[in-house]
Amino acid sequence: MTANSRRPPANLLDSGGSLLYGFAGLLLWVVSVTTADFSKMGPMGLVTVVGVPFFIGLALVAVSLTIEINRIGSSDTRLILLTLILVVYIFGTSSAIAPVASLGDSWLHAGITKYILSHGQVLNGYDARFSWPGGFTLGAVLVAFAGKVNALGFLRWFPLIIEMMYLAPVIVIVRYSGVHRKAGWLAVILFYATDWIYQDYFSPQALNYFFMLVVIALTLAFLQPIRDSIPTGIFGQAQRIIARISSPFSRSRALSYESVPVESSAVTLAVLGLAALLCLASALSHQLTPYAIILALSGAYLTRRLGRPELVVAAGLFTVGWLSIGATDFWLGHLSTIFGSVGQLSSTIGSNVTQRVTGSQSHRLIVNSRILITAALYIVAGIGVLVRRPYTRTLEALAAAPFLLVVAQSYGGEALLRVVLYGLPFTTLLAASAIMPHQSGIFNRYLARLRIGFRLRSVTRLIVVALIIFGFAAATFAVRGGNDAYESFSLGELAAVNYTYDHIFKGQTIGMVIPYLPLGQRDVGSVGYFLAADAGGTPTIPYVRSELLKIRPRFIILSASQYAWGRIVEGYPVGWQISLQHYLLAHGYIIVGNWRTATVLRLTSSTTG
Amino acid sequence: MISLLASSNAVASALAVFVAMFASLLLLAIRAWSSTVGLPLGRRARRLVDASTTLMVVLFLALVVVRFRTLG
Repeated sequence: MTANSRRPPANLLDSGGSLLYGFAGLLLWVVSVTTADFSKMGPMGLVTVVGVPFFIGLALVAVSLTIEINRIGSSDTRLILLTLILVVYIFGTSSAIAPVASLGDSWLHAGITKYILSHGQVLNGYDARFSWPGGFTLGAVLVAFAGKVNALGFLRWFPLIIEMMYLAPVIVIVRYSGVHRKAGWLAVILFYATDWIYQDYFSPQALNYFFMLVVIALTLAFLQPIRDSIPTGIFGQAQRIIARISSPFSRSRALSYESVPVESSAVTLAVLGLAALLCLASALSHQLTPYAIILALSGAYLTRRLGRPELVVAAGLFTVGWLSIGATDFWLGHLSTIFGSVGQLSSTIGSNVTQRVTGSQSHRLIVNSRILITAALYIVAGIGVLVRRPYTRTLEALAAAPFLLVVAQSYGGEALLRVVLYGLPFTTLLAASAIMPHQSGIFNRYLARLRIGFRLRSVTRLIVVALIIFGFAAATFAVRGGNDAYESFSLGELAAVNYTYDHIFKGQTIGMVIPYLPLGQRDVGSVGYFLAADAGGTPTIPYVRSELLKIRPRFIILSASQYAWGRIVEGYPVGWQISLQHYLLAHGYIIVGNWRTATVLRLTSSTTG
Repeated sequence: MISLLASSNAVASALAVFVAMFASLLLLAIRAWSSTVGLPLGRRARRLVDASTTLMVVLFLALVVVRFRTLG
């Protein structure tokens, strides 16, 4: 086969074609979200309201990206533009369709931010998040800077904005990862097309993920490997191997490949200082991400990509120091919360995976699809590890390092999700390397004769790449919004919550079945909450009823989101919430507010204790 | 100093941990600065900085452990 016959047809890779397809895709997105009816959302979530034009548009974006990656003389600007359109598709659709911000936690975070803004200090003993207040404090500063009274205006579009912010450090990581340009851009696209892990809502973890990406990007960009004299011959090879193994621990790292500053000493010191400052900011803002940063920096150091240990040690000092001094309120009296699950790998995996595969058929399909997407990505990345011939194995170390977190912590059943997220930029680079392998590094391929990667005819190659991008993006979009039936909220639910806050007094309690409500944005610390299904026992309907009547909260909010949760996750019968409402009405409650998607009940004065 | 070490509560105080952390960071900064600007430190001086840094980091970790054990 000649080189010419392998080259894609010129008209297919026309310079204007990619943009045309991309903007046509964007137009179809606008049509889809403006015609989508939020109130008709089914148990499969967001995917049930977007319609066929949405997926046609997404396919056009996948085609446009494929063309631009493979086009001779492809432009970074065009690729950035098209990637942003993909980001809008995957991360902006929920914000565009849902009338208010999704996820109850984002509303609670707005409440914590508001508390810090109003009081100028944290509220000890209320919530563990107050022990890592850095992100909320920054949020309070931004609220004050914008002249607002609270952070509610930031919530709705926050996922789209923060995902767009990730693009810059991800591009830098890719550029200095040693993977060639085409595979690098495919990795950037796969980074977004496989990120179904909903950690980009208004939260410290979303901000800290950005910090982590920037720290790693700075490390890779400003400390680059150079080629020193490499000994040859049998003794030279042995010398190289010994040097490679012992180098991280030795004073002299003279042999083989080494990472050295590429800028002046002043710039290098400034960059190290900035990276250290980001590590400090992260240590003050989040419980888990600083440890992921330490592991990533350690991985880069041990694979000789980070030429010096100071940053790793400084990040460790900040993280452990803040835990010991700043987060005392969190661990005082219950250290087992931190160290109790160390080494309990099977229970951690159980709480992270198997306990999540429950509920109705639609819910199990969503959860299984999430596992499948991640498994598929890791399998392709594994092939990338075997077939690529890199200059360093840093990417492998960076992809694997976060798994050590699972050994240390179950993190409330979310550790494995976070591990996948922290390794995602590097896993996608390895996966892209499987599709377009690099063949010029000093490390030998493990499978030298396996001809995986693109040796297909060019048109077939384009089709396969487009299918991979579309397949991952469509599946990720579907599973990412798979819980939206109960994690996104209507205006009626927000009105019910606001009504309750307007009428409740300090020290009284708001009751609910499960906290799938836009709740917590007001009166942090002065109003109590009671979650009947989360009170410790198996959340059957009789249990929920008895718990609510045992505590007798002043107000109880029933809503469409909670009803959907009961049907989808717990398998409650049709109309369960209406029967619960009748039960409560027969036991001392009256309806004080009613909207199409929410009802507020209040304990009558005669039954108040 | 003797009175500080006399009680585990004093050793576990936030101030002790903070001072050890600050000293470690200072030594790390000196190490990074000297190697980046190419300061012609002698072998003995470099070893002294490295040993001091290691010692201070170990002391910091020990103080953190004592703090956890005493208060946790």
